[in-house]
Amino acid sequence: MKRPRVLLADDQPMLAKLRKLLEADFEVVGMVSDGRSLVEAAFQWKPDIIVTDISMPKLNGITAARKIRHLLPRMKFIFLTMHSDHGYRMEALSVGASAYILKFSAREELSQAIHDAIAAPA
Amino acid sequence: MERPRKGSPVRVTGKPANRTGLPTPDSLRSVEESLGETKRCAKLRLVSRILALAVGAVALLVLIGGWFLDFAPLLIVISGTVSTKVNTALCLVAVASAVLLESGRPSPVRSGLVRLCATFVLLVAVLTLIEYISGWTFGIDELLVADRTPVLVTAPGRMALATVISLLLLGCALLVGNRGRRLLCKQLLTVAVAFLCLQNLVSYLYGIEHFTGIGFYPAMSVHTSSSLLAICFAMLFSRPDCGLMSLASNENLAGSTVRRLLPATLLVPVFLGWLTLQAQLNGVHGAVFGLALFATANVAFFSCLIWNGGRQLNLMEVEKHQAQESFRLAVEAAPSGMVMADHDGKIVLVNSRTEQLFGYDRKELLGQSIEVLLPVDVRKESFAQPPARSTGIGLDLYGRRKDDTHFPMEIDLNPIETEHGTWVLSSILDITERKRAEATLRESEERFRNMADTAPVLIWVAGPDKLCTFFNKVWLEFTGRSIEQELGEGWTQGVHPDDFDRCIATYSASFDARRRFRMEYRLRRADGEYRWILDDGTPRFTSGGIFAGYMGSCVDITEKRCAEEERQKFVSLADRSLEFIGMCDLDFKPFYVNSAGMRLVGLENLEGACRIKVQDWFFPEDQPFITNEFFPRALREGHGEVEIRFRHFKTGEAIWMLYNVFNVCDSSGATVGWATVSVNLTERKRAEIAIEESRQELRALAGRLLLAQEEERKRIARELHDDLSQKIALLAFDTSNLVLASPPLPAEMTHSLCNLQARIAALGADVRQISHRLHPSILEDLGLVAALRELCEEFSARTTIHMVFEQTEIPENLPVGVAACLYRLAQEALHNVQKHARASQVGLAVSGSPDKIRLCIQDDGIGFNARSSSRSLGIISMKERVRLVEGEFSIRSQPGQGTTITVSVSLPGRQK
Repeated sequence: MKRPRVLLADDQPMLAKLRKLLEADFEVVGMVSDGRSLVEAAFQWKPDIIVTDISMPKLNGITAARKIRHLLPRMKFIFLTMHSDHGYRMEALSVGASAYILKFSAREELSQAIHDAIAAPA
Repeated sequence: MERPRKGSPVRVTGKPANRTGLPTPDSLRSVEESLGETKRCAKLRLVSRILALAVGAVALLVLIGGWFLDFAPLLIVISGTVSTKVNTALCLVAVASAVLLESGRPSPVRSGLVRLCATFVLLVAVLTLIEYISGWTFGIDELLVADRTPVLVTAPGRMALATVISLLLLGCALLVGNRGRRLLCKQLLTVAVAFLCLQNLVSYLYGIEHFTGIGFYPAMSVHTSSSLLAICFAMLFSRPDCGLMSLASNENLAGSTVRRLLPATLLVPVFLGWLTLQAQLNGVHGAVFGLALFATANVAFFSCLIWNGGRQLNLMEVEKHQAQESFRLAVEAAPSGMVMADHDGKIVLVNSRTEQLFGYDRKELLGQSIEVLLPVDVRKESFAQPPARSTGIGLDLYGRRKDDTHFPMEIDLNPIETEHGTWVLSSILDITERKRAEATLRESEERFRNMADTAPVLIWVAGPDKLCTFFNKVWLEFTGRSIEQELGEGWTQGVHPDDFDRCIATYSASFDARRRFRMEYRLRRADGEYRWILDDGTPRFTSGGIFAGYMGSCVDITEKRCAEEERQKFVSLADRSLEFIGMCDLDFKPFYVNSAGMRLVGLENLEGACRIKVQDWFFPEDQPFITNEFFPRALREGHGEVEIRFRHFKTGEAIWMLYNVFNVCDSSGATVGWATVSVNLTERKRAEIAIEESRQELRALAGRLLLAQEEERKRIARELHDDLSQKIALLAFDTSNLVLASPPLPAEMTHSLCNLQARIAALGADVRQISHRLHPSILEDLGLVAALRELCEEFSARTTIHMVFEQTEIPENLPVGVAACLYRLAQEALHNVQKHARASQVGLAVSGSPDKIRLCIQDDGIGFNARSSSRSLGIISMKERVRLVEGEFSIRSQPGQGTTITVSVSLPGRQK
């Protein structure tokens, strides 16, 4: 069975730990550290799902997601962020995010959230 | 040579004027010598009185000394001759008394006494004559004293027959009187007596001692005959200007001749006869030769006398001719027409000026009636009133020319008494020009009086003697006095006592120096109030430059003086003021600027300042505004105030002024000028500029501080988020790995790790919260609307205050600074609401347009006084934040009415 292909985007050291965590169940097609790279990588790799932080250099995750969804409407996103603010959450949902996970609970929730997103219809 | 005075009656002897129109030499000389006659007559009268007194004295000596005191030498002067009788002496005293009485002023008493004396003399003489004729004796010869003299020719004490005849004639002469032809009769009787006495005296001179041998001619004593001769001269001299004596006393040629010849005729033959007789008695020659010698000597003497008389006549003729020529030239040269008319009004003399005046030839006028020249019958009037005068005075007199035209003239009439009657010498002056000048003068004077009476000033006129001669109607109405009261020095009674000396001194000194004067003094008005008047006096001179007095005008300056005093107070006040004070007329031409104002603009004298129009006092760049905007507005509103620049006239520098201008009104409220009281704002302006610059610097500094703060908070927030939060997250991640480790850790450790994991998560939340407060990353990540919405939700959750958030048409890509400003402002406002407002509901609305964004935060809290709280730090901070993005901030709040804060920020560079 083909493993779901995941693209990771974060400018923080947690990115490496996440890759190690996710590689057991998923194919990590790439890792980028800013929003603009994320957009380019998304068009390049066309992953099944994108796990991205919100606060990133050059372009924040939500804006990048909005750009990607503009050309790849079926692309799925999971936002992994430090921001627990309701505004962020609402904004993320408004661009079609599959899940909004705080980094403090990434270890417990991320893998399951990716599976759920993959399983969910586009 | 004395000339006849104008108007003195002149008697002219000699022939009337000849046909040449000029007087004869005799008449001319008579005129010239007329004055000498009076003196000569006076002398003769004096001689008459002296002779009468002498005769009277001699008679009294004879009477008293000779007869009553028996002093013989007084009775018989020459031994062997007869004595002077008592009656003779009495009669001589009477005759002498009568002559003296006649010489005085005529009066009835004197005339009566004269007649009494004459009657006495006549009575004595007649009685004595009867005694001689009849041989009777009336006893009158020795009535008083017995005759004791040795020589008795007739009866004792009886006067000689010659004496009787002489006294008889003298008595008749005295009784005849002095009127008209009686005087001539009197003088003839007197002359007869004189010759009788002269004969008696000559007889004594020639040595005859007794007259017995000569028929009836009795002896007459020496002093009787001398006294009678003297009294005859006294009687003749008592009337020297009348009858026979008029010829001898006259100064004309006849009188001179008589006076020269008569004494010689009386004395020289007597003397020659005496010489011849003496020679004959001494035997020098015989009687016949002596008589021949006497005759020859008389011929020689009278020949010389006549020749000398002829020579004198010749000289006098030449003199008269010269005088005639001089007179003719004088008359011809006279500037006025000279016309002489005789007693019939016929013209006997004219000069060339008369020919010019009347247009006649001289020959045409001579012999014509004076009526030809004078339409008015002035000639008769002249004769009616002989004293010389200007006939034309008081009536318009006109002369008639040959062409029958008339001209005004003035005639001086001089009546001249001649033996042919009263002639009139007329001096005629053409006064056409004078009349015209007089008419012009009258008209001028009338015009002056009318003008003076209608003039609104007090006018006076004074003569050269400093006395006033005229006051106009306005003066008299002012003082309430009559012209008679004011004339002369009367006007000075109205001068205030305190001003009197100064006024009179100025008036008098100016008069003496003939210079114009202006003085102020107080003059009493009709109502008793003293009013200040300005008196301006100017000397007057005739066209010939002769000082004619003064003329002056006065105006009441009481109000003006009061106003001047008020003005002086104002000027004193204004000059002490440090502010710029100036006044100008309606044409904006200055007439006053105070000292401070002059110094301010660099001017040195008021005269120069007044030549500069008001507009030019302003800085050149401000002049258009002043001329076109400010002045028209000030004219409409009556005042105006503006901060504007004056210019310094020396350095050209601008001087900031608070220019306050207002209109100046007269008593009726009409605008008569403009005034300004302006304050120098230069220092204040400099201070304001400095403050503004300082404020700008402070604002810039505050802005930089805010930006720096914002940047620092942002940096710290990012550090917290990007570093510390991430590390905490990693720690939490790692902790989770331990909790989820396989094989699982002991349950107790797992439980501890779970607690640790929860505490790490809380720590992360706190750090994130701190970071969020320091700098809301959502603003950059999601934009202003999301950030504000998040802020509202967070505020509502924190405070339980109902929060309403609205947003419409927010432009995209707001400048970070603008978004941060609005966010921080909303953050501060909500913080204030939470802290102070006690509100139940808060509305936050953000709306925009492509070029503008507007934020409004409104609560229903207790509100506050926005004006008094405008300096609170929170509000100042909000304002400053808005000012940094060049926005507009407003806060509206009233106690109990909530608060509304509105911020509006323009977005430059964006198109609508």
